[in-house]
Amino acid sequence: MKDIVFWLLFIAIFISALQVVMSRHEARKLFVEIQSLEKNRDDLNEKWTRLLLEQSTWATDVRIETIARNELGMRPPVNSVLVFEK
Amino acid sequence: MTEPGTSVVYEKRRWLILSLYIAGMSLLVWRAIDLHVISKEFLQEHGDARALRVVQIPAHRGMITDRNGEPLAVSTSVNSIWATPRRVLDSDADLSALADYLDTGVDELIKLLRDRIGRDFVYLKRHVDPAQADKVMALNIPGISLEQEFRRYYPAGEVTAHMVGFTNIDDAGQEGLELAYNDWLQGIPGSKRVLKDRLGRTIENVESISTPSPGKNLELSIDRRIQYLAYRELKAAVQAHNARGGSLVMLDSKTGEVVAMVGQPAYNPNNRSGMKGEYYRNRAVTDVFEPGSTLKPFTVAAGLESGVYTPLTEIDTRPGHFKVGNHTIRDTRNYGVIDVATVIKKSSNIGVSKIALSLEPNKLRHTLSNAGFGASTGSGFPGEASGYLSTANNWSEVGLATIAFGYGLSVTVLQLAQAYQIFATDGQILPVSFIKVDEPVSGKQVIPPEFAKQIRTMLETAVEKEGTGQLAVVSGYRVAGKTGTVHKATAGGYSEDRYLSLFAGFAPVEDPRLVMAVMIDEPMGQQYYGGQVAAPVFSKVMTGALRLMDVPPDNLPGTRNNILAGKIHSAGIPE
Repeated sequence: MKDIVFWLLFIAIFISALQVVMSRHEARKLFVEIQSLEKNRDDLNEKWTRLLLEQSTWATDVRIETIARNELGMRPPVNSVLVFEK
Repeated sequence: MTEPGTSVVYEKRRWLILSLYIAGMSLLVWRAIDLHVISKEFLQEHGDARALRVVQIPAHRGMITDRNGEPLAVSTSVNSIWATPRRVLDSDADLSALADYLDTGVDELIKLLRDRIGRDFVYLKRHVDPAQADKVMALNIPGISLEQEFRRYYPAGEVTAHMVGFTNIDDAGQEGLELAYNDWLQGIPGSKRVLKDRLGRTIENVESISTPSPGKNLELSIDRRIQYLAYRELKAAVQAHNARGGSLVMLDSKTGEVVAMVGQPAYNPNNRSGMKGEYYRNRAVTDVFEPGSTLKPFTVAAGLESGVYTPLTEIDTRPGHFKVGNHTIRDTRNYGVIDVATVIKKSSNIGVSKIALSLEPNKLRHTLSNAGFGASTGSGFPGEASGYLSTANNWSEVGLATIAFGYGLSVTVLQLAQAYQIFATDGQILPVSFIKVDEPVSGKQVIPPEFAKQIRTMLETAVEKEGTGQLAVVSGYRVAGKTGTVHKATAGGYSEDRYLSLFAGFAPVEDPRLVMAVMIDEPMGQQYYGGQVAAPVFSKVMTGALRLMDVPPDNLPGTRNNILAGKIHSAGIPE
């Protein structure tokens, strides 16, 4: 009887020891993965802000106004040519 | 020793064993001395370099956008190059390429490192763009490392500079809303434990201690397009009249939101080198001045509230000058006997003085303090001035008469705009907000609605033909407003040739949407009247703003009765 308990416990300890090793390894692997995902996210964020800045630089009001007036010959409509919808 | 007879002493063996022990011992002692004394520095340094380190992960600062989501302040990540001087110098690496990237000479770089040899962390260059930083790291010089940081960019530049403010190199708000909302915008940096190699490079991320939490975005109440328009027109006016400066505030009269706020002179927040501190000041909220004639509608409001006056009450302003105590009040000419509405239209100093003097002693003071004068608007903008309004009971006669036309008290442009909003909202004062307002706001009723409407009508006549503010007209819309030309107070009295040109008003009169106050400081040209200098700015900015905000016109000749709230369509423009 005593022997059986001893061996059962021995096996249990052995299995749990293996599991500790495995989960340690798993945790490390996941940590590496989250790190690379975070890096990826940061890179994409950085790219996004860059594009955002670029877009707002192209879309500055000064630029739009100059192009509209000078290149496209646009001008604000005068009231006499406005039609109002009900 | 249990059998004494058998004991044999091997003298030689004993000595051999003993000397082996001693030799072993002295080897260990020597090793200990070697480790702890002789090679200590070398070993310690390498041990430290290999040890686990806790590093900070910077948090992203929140973005500032306008009411439509257009970016006004954005953080992008950049790298800062830093060095451990001793390691760089010990490595005997060729520093010429590095010096090129840093825009210095090799000798200067070496001198810089030598001077700081005792330190472990020296910035070589901050805020380098990542591509260049990678090139520096590719040189593989020991002791050179990168640190990730954020740099703030302001896409709208000068246009929003005064309002948005800026951050310092460490990403903390210094001025404007960047400072006021610093806690909201700022993130909380995280930290992690990393394994670093001999060169200080991170080899492996060991564990995360705390994750950084990014700052929150801030949505302002301004509209970038209107802000640009206001900036452009104000700057043009300041330049055309050779003025010292100016400011302009536009409020949404339904919500109290600041739609535009600009000041001159401005600065570029993206490149502040060589800028003087005075340029950073948001004049619209920090600088006070005497409001002059723009205050007259409030005196008239006090008169109407007292029940003694109606818009048709006649006031004798003859003969164009009027003595109060030993002070003489003058009009630009003799207007004769005029009604209250004409007092506003012609901006008669005598008219408003007579109204003020006939009221109960504290009436005018109450009306003015109810309109927000003498107290901060509570906007929370850093450095906001509250202006000055005497709190004394019973003003002197001269004091009362001069305050009636706007001398002897001081206001900011923001206060002036907020006060004019009262007439636009049927007598309610609304809290000023720099942040987009979503829920309907409730104001405090400070003037009964019927009087606010009567003053609105009077202010409209001031912009009509023969009014002082006729250059403020906006085609297609009915506009109401009041001009002001103020002699600047200087040491020893009021200056004869230094003025402030003011205009405050709103449109459309039918159902006011936008309130604006314009102030031009010391126009030096031929023109200096508020009606000549400030009113045209009002007209131009208002015209554009009403169109951008899709406000239906209320003043189209012929079609006046057919105007309906709806979208404006332009029929094919005949060329």
